[in-house]
Amino acid sequence: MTTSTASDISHDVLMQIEDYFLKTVPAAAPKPLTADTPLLGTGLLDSLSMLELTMFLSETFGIEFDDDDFVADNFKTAGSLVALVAGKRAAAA
Amino acid sequence: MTLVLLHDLIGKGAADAGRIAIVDGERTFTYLDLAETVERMAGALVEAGVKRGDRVAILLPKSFEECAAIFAASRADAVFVPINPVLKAQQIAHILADSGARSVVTTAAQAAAMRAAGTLPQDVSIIVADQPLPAAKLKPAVGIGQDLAAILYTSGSTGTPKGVMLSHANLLAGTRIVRTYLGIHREDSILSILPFSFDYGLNQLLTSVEQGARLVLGSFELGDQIVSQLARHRITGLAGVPTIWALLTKTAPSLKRTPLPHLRYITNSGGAVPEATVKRLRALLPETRIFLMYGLTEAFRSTFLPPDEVDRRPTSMGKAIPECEVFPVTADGNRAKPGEPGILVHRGPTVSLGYWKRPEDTARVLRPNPLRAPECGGETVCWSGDLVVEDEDGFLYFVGRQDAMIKSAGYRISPTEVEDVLMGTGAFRQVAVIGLPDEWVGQKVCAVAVPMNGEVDTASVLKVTGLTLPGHMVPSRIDLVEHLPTTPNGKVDYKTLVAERSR
Repeated sequence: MTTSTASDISHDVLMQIEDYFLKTVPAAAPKPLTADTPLLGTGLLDSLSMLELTMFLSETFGIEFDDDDFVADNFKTAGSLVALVAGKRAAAA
Repeated sequence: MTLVLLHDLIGKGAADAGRIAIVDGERTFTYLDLAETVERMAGALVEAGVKRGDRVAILLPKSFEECAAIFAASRADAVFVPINPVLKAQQIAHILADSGARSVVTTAAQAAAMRAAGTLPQDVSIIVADQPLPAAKLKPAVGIGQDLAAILYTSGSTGTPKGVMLSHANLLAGTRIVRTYLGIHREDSILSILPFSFDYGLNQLLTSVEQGARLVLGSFELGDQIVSQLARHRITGLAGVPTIWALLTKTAPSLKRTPLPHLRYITNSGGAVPEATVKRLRALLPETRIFLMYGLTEAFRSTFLPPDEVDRRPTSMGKAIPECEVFPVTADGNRAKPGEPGILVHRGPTVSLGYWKRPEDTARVLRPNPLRAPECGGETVCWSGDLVVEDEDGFLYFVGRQDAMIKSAGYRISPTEVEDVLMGTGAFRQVAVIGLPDEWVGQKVCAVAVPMNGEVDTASVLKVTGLTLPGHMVPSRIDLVEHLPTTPNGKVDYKTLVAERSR
């Protein structure tokens, strides 16, 4: 059995987010998605797709978002969202 | 001054020309700026050949320019057709063609994109709104209040979106009525986060300008961003749809720690707010008055629940707005008794002129007053298609739709429009699109489909659908079945499809 490293997890989350955009906004999906790709203020997401993205990540990674997670700092870039999700996964493990 | 045409609304604020009319991000515009831009834009429209009664489509992001274009069409004696910028090329093309737009007011970038994609009809002129326009000398407008002022596109239960025709008198009545019961005044700062293509969103612009108040154009991706805009601009009034209240009460952590002493009122329309959300809003904003409202584009605005009734009747849509009468009518054409469900019928000055170039659809919605014959003074009234029930005190409650129309995040969605796109992929033999209850958007769009050849990759179908349809119309899932249930008449049984999935 292998244990996944923190960077594996982050990479995995990033790939899932990229995949999510390819599925939901195929025409506008940033490719490749990197940790620096901005998520807010770009028109890529609106309030509803933001919620759907968090629901998708909840289901995919078996984590839960709290009220207090929904602050701009956590959603500024793909990297900040990855850090939030990876942190939750580590806490759940 | 008597207000006759839509752009007459600017008069009051412009009398004190230095007042701020519109805040658009880092840009602020006075009433003088608004009046001048309207004049220049109207000049450009006339220059481009727009004549009295011609349709002027407005395809702009939420901006000062969009506000100005709405009044500029009126100033040029034309009819404005606002297009929601979230729509995709196919829906935009439908609105341009259906309305027979003579001119489109848009951005340079959007115009270039449409030219490149070949989605712009040949005979449509373009007014680029994000470039300086020359000063214009215009003759006074000649229209009267009964002239058509706007066509607002909205969906029903079938087919492509239809254009609801509103006169200047309709829009001015809606402005006056809503401003009266909300008590909107000169010192208000209103945050506008809804599209102006939506009658309810448009009304924030109209009421604010009428009073010489300040309209702040907002945008957000997170609930917290709404909160920070409310605080930063000392907003006194906010209009939202149920989804916005869900976001604010569930995913806006800063709301409970941000004092909003200026926020005098909030209003809801575009669907019912769940009772639990109303209670949370009351707890989070104890000093703010909550107006639960109901309206349909075909009658502009219809009912509201006074804020002091919200704790007692949190699920009620209230009573008729001022100057109007609203009541349920039974299938046999009588006024329903308390407790007896009936179709909501609306009388008054906001009843629209019907659907653009759709006499049959119009005849279904605009009908003779059921309680008074035409020869005895009965007028044309609006049949909403919404089933409601009245309590002993005359308060109305929404029961359901008479048809299969879906309402999601404040948008009206026609199942057949989504079905047509899904069938167009060639992956299915049969498709039915339904709305399922959802805590965030009211109803979420779901498709039930019979695959063409056994296996279908629904993820890739949804991907293709996302290219053609705006996000709110794309199904959240596709359930594959062997056959669709039918009613005894052989039609697809939508009620059963919904019931099977709502348990």
